[in-house]
Amino acid sequence: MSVWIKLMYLVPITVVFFLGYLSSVTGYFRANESKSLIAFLQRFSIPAVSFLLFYETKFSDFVKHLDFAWMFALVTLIPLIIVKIYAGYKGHSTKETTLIAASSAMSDLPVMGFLLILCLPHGDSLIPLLSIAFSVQIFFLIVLIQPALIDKFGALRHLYFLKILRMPIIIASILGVIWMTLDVPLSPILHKPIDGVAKTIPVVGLIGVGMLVSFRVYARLTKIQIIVMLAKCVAMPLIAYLVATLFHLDQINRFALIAFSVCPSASYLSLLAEQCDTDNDVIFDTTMATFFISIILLLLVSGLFFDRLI
Amino acid sequence: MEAFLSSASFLMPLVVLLAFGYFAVRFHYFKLDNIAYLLKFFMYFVVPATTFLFTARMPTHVVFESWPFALSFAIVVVIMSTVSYILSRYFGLSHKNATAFASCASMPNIGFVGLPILLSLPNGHNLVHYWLVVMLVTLAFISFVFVPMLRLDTKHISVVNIGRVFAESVKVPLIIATILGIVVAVSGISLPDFAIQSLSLISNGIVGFGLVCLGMTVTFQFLFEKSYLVWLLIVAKGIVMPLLAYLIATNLFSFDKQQLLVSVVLACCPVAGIGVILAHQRSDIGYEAGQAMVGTIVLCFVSIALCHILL
Repeated sequence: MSVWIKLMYLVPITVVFFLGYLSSVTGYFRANESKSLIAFLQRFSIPAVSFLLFYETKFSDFVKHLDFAWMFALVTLIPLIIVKIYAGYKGHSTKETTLIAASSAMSDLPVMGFLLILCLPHGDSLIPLLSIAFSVQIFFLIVLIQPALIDKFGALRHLYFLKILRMPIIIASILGVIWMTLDVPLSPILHKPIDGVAKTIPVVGLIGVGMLVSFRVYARLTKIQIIVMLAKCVAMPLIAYLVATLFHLDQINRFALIAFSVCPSASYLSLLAEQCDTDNDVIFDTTMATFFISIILLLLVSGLFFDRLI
Repeated sequence: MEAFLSSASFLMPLVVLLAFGYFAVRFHYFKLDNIAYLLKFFMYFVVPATTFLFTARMPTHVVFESWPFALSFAIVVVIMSTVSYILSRYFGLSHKNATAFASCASMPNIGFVGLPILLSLPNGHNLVHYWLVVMLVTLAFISFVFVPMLRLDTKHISVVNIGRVFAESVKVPLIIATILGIVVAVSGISLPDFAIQSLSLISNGIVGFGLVCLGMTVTFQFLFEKSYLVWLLIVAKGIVMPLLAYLIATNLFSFDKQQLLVSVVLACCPVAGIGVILAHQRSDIGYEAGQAMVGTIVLCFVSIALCHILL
C-alpha cells in the first residue's frame, strides 16, 4: 500500500476540521458560539462513545491485549509525571499542575480514536485496543487526576465519589464496563440512539473544535503551555515509538500505540477544569493548540505506520 | 395496543433520542442558552451537507421519476395553505398573521424529524429520493410563496421585488447546497472519495444531533394553552394534513403501499422550524407557532405509528 493511499484515509478528518475552521474565519459562524457545540460534545457525544467502546469490546479481548494496556500506561505516565514535576517546580498550584500534566498526557481518544475507527478500512479491529487505552486513561483520571483536583479541605470532602460521578465520561465508562462484564446485549431501543449520538462526534467534535482553533492561539501561548504542547505532540509519540520498537510490537499494536499518542489533548479536561472551579482557559487553549498539530501528525503517522487492519 | 406497540418499535429509538434532549434540559445537565445555536448549526451545516450528499449522488432519473410524488405533496401544501389562509382571514387574523399561520399549517419539519423517521423505516435508505423531492417542494413554497407574502404590505399596495426575493433565497445554505447537488447530479460529475467520506462523516450525525436538539426544545406547556390558534395549528398540521395527503394519494394518484406510507409519514411531520422562525420574525403569532411545533412533535410520533399499522 503506497504512503499516498494510506494518507488519504485520514484526509476526510482534515477536510471536516478545516470546514469548521473556514466557517469561523469567513464569518459563516461565530467562533465563540461554537462553545455550545463543545458543551454538546462533552455532555452527549463523548459519553456515548465511551459507553459504546466498552460495550462493543468483549471481556476476553480485553484480557488478550493486557500487554497493550501497560505499554499505553507507560507512554501516558512518563509525560504526566515529568510535566507535573516541572509545573510544580515553576510554582503552579496543585490543581493547575495536575490539569497541565493531564493535558500533556491524556489523548482525546473518544474523539480522535473514534474517528480513526470510522475512517480507516477495517477500523473496527482497533476497537479493543482503543477501549483498553481508554480504560487506562479513565483509571488515571479516577486514581491520579481527580483526587488532586478535589478540594480535600472543603465541606463536601467526604462526597469524593459523588464528585467523580459528576463527570459524564466516567459515568458512561463505568456503565460500559458493567455491560461488558455482564455481557448482556443492549436492546436496539437503547443501542440505536446511543450509536446515533456517538456518530455526532465528527460534526460536533471536529467542526466545533475547528471553529475554535485560531492560529493566534500560538502567539499567546505561555511557556508552560508550550512545554505541554511539546510533551503531547512530540515527546509522547516519540516515547510510544520507542516502546513499540523496544517491545517488538506487531503492525496493528504499533500503529495503535503511536496513533493514540499523537491524538490531541483530551477535550473533556476543560469540563473537568470547569467542574473543579479552576481556570479552564489555559487547558482549553492548550487543547486547541495541540489539535491542529495533531491532525497533521496523525496524517503522517497514518502514512508511515498504518498497514492493513484485519 | 400490542399491535400499536410493535408497530411503534421502529420509532422508539427516535423517541429515546428526543428524551435524551428533553431530560438533559429538564435536569439542568445541558444549558438552555446553547439550544438556539445548536439548532442554527444544524440548519446551516448538518442539513445542507446531508442534502448536498444525497442530491449529488442521487441518479437524476430517480428524482425525475418521483414527479407524481412531488405533485401530490404540492397539491396537499396548496390546499392546506390556501384553506388555512382563507379561514384565518375570515376569523379576523391580519394578512401577515394569516400567512404565518398558513405556512405553519402546511410546511412539515422534514429536516429534524422527516429524514430520521424515513431512515428508520424498513428499507429507509432507498426512500431518500422522496424526502428530497418533498424538500424541494417545501423550499420552493417557503422561498417563493410564504416569504414574499409575508413581505407584502396590504395597507400600502406594493409590488414584491421577485429578483430580491430570489437573491435572498439563494443565500440560504440549504438552497445553495440543493442547487449545487442538482448541478453535480445533472452534470454527471463524480465526487472524489474524500469529499463523499467527509460529507458522510457530517451527515451520519443528522439523526442523533437533530433529534437530541429537538428534544431539548420540547416542553408540555402547550397542553395548558388556552389560545385557540395553538390548538387549531396542532389539529391542522398534525391531523388534517396527513388525512389530506392520504386522500390525495389514494384518489388522485396510484401510489403503491410504500409511496402511500412515505407520503402520509412526511405529512405527519411537525410544524417546520422555518415556519416558526418566519412567524417570530414577521408576524405576531410566533409564540403560538412555537407551542404548536412542540405539540405536533409529540403528536407526530403517535400518528406515524398509527399510519404504520393502518397502511
